[in-house]
Amino acid sequence: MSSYRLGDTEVVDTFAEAFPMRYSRLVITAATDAWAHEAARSATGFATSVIGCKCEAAIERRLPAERTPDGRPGVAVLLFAMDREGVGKRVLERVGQCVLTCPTTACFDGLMDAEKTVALGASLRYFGDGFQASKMIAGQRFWRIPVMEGEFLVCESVGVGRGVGGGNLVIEAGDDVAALTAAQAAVEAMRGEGVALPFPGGIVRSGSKVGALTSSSMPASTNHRLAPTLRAQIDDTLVPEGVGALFEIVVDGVDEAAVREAMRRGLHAAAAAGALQVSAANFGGDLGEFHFPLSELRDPP
Amino acid sequence: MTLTLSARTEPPARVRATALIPERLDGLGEDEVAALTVRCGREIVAVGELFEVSGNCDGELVWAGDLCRVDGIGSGMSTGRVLVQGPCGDHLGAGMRGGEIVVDGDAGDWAGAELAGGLVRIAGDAGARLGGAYPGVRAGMSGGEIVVAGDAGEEAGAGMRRGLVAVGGTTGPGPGLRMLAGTVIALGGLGADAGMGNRRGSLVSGRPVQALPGYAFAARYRPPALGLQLRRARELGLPVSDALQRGTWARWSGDRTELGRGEILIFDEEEGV
Repeated sequence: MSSYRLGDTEVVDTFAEAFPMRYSRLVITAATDAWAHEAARSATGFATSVIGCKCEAAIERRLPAERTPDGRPGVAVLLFAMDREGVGKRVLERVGQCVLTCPTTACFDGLMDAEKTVALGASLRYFGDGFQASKMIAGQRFWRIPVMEGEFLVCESVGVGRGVGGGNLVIEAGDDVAALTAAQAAVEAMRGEGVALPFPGGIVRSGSKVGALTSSSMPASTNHRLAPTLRAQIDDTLVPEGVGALFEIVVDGVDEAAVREAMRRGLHAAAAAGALQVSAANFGGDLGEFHFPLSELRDPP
Repeated sequence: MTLTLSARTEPPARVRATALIPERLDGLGEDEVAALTVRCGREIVAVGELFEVSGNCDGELVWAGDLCRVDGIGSGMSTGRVLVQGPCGDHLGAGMRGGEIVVDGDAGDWAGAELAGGLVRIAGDAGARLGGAYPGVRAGMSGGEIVVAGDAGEEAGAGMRRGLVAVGGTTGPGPGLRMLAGTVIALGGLGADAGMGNRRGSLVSGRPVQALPGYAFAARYRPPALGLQLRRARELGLPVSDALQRGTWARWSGDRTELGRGEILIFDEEEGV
């Protein structure tokens, strides 16, 4: 496999394979930045992989008070699922369990221009047990749900857009410390508007493969070809000489460009932070609609 | 391009201008507009006799001159923009479904009566029954926004079902009379007997007001929906202070002589400053 170099880092000439997904953006506000962040963290918990968690979600960015609908500190959250119905179910569950319950929060639609929507307040209002009230404000309906603290304000519905899920980089270095340092630098560079990194701290240490060698019922299992400890045990290892640890960064985005540019930022940041090699995961190119060749990311962001 | 109708003199009687709205005047030439007729008292007169017509209407209509006797400006309109230079008569924007009316002065009674959509902005004062329901009609305003920089007369928002009436000054007595829902905000304070017969509506007073006996005190808190509405009112030009925006409000629930799901929110000055 041919490759190119970014400084001391070898970039493998391969591609990341990604899939069409649907997504929503929630804007969660609260009395303080800390509470908004607390709600957002809770709402995006257990949302690393659509296979095991039914959705992928992450904090997109913090929003200063002057950029939120109610003038309070906020956090934008992106949630991805395979279809609109899935987005609707997950948004409702997560706002109901993690945002409604969190002190001082309110929840708004961060995708106002979307053509399609899913119900949020329209369903969540029933928690109000008949005491809920609606308000039309600037053409948008909101629901006021009485709670022990006062009222929870939530938008009637949230927009659903077409996004891309599954962009990725595999960052490799001589040992775990060096690999993690490079991966963290990549995550830092990749985060931003339009992008969600759904895994803990944005980083995956347990890359998976489809299916399993030992069971037909397992949907996924460890990607043994990328496990350094198995390098001498298997014939088809993908761990190159000198590499002692690998981390994967999975990136979902609001469109192809968001994913591509996040990967570009991550690639160059990882290289600058001492990655020995950067690669990407794919399924041979037959499954995913979107391909992101690393060769196209050579120019710095 | 803008079509301008300038009153030649004060009309001899009240003029009913309901037909002269942007969507009906679009594409008409000056002569054609001048040849249209309107009711003036008991007479039917040509528009050109009362108003000097200039320009062509391309979604925007300007009224100028002495318009105190011109009623129904922008009434029933669903699109476009109407600018009124100076005070105007009654029924401004009544039954309006969309578009925007901006009045650079006072408006008479029944401004925005039974408004269904759109935006009415009045730089001066408004008369009685702002956004109200006409006699015999249960529901008044069913949508849209009315913003009055000055004061409003009695029974603002009477019978209101949906929408926002925001008043920078005070309202006269009886705001929110028999309100079904919607919101009436008076930054300068609600008039007496606010929310009589209110079912689900919200009345908001920026100054202390005595709630009717049909209301009961519930709690002091920061209503998140009101925060949004006050931000909207500020966007539309009302001087909403930070204290109002961030302060606490006393919630009174009522009217218990009716459904009792309405509220009067009264700014808690001691807490808020």
